Amino acid sequence: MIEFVTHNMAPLMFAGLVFGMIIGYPAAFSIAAVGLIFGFVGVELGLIRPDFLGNLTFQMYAVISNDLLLAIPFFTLMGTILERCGLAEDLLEGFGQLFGGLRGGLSYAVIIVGAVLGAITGTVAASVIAMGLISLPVMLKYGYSKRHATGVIAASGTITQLVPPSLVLVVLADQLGRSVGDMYKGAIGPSLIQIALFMGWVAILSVLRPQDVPALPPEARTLRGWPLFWKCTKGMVPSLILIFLVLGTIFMGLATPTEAGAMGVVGALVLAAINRRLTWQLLWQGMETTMKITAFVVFILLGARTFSLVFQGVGGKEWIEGLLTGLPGGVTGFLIFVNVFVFILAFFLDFFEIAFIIIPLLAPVAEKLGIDLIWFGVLLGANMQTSFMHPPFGFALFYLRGIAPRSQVPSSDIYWGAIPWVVLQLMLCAILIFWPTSVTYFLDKPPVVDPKNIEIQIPSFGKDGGVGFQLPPLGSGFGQGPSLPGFPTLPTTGPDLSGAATKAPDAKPSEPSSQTQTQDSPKVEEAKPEPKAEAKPDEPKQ
Amino acid sequence: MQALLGFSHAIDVFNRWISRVAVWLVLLAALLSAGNAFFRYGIVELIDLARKHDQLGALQAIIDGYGRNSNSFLEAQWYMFAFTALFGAAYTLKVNEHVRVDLLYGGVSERTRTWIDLFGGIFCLVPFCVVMVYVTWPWFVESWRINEMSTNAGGLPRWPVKLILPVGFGLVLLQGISEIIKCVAALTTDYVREHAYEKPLQ
Repeated sequence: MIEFVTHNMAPLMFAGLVFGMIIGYPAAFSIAAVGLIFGFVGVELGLIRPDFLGNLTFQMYAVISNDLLLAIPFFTLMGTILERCGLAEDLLEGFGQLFGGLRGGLSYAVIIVGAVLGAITGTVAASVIAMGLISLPVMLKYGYSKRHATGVIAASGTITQLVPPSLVLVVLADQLGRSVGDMYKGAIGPSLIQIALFMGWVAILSVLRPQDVPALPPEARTLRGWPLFWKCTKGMVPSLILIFLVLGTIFMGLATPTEAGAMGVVGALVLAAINRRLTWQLLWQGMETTMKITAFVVFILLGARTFSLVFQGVGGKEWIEGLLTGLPGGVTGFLIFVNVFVFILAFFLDFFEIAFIIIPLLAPVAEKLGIDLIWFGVLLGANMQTSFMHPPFGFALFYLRGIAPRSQVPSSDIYWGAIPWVVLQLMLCAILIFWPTSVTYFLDKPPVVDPKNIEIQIPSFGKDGGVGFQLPPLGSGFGQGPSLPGFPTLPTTGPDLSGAATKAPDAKPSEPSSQTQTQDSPKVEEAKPEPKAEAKPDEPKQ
Repeated sequence: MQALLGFSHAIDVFNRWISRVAVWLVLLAALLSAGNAFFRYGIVELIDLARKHDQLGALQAIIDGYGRNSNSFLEAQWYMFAFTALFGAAYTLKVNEHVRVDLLYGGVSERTRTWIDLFGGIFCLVPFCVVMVYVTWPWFVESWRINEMSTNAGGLPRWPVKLILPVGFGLVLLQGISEIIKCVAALTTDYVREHAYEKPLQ
């Protein structure tokens, strides 16, 4: 018995994970408990060194000191404000009138607005709710089929999570240990393809089933000429400013994704104030929702780290590798398997659960097979779009159900309406698997700007040397490195550019900071007695 | 049972109060982070402008002040993030918004759900939180003892963010106990749990 357990710890632990999650207790705690139980068993059997609990502390600290994760509250808060700041209304009304005369015109408008909103914000809820509230009544009023109308709104809202700056890509970049900037660049091509696929589908429908997507009658198109132009401008100008503020600053290397998210929050607040929508209630609700999401995401991550630390310790990585590298078809076989696997898991698991629990198991295998992790990440991002669209649990459908009047739109229409769009999303995955250039095209052409390497130094200021003006560590968070399961992540707070200046040559060797920290656990830089504030002025490094 | 429910209620109120701090920190962190970015890139222009008009003196103080403290501002961002998450987690548990896999949970009766929550609380949440408090507390004590500072020039002291780990897990532990009491009450008396399970929004 004991021998059996000793040799099969990894599969047993995986079974424990499945059981722990399936019982339905909040995943953060059940997977952590599975990790701890197996951790203690592993220590008893001599598989894990007893000091693993010490490493656990570092893991926890690495999670909360990860600058990149700050993007989660920022993007969420921005989304909750944008949802109700009136921007989507201006855009949809403008574009709806502009394309209204065409068959399927309202659908094109929804897809374009979905893409524009997607380029501003990173959360799906904002887009779906805003578009559902505004466009759905109009589409139903002028005779669009219910299934098509709900489907196009849910899918165009979901595209947010593929179009940079997407929160999903930030989290995937963190888990895969790649730079967010590269991930965003890689997602440009797939986003364009996805939009083209959606538009193509509407075009096909307008030929095959014109009764589903009628053109607006002339009397419904009240805006013409200058008023129409003004309406479109009123929607597009703030959108472009916000896109620049968030996406532009990331691509130009001016801001980290985290800061871009924060600027997006300010931009959304200003826009809401201009449109006279900014109320205390709106702000408080947004902040409270954001707080809850941040808390549960961080706890899932804490639980997942506990699990993976032990899983790694009992040889889980090798076990998974052995299983997956032996798949027929090499790289393509692996990718197809992973996509099917994630597609199925997404029926049951939240996006964050997949990203924090499942992706760390798959990433090392992908890397070993020589798969470009940016490509892998974007592919997974595209795949996980479907998790928002699956009947019956998909979030996008769920939001839409929340706002569509039940008397007019039965749930079955929402579910059936989603299916063609899920197929279109899967087509995108297939395209990405067999045509990797669609991801790498935007990566290779310009020299890759990796935020990790951006190092801007402002030379010492003033003739007499002044006080060196010290740039803050740009890439904090990125530096957390590949979050491989169980890898004792160094709890440094980002690659501090100042390191060179602050580490005085006579810094004493680090002393063990506590009983739990053992000799071979990663050195904690913080434990060093700090050469205090009179550190020498930074020499300009360039 | 009444006494226990009173205790549970006290925990709820306390964590509700703590969560307000967490909610405020969301906005503060966003404003601070945006401010950092603005200032960092605005300052280059400012220096140029000042050079041109020979007004360096006036700006010098501001720039120096920011330069000395820029790392503090940056670190304050993620301190606030850590505080948001760990102060907010207990309340999130109270309003039942920690994400679950609802494959089974979504389809069973309220009574079965209460049993799941009871066992989950006793065998998952409580042990996890106890272990975490146990392993993270000495870390804080050490950091406090040596008055550990950030390795970044002009950074913040490290102990607050190390203190937040045991404190946050402690708060979740308390809330977990409160939830266990409510589960027992719901199973043995006619007490009705307030926050029914809903699929969380994101």
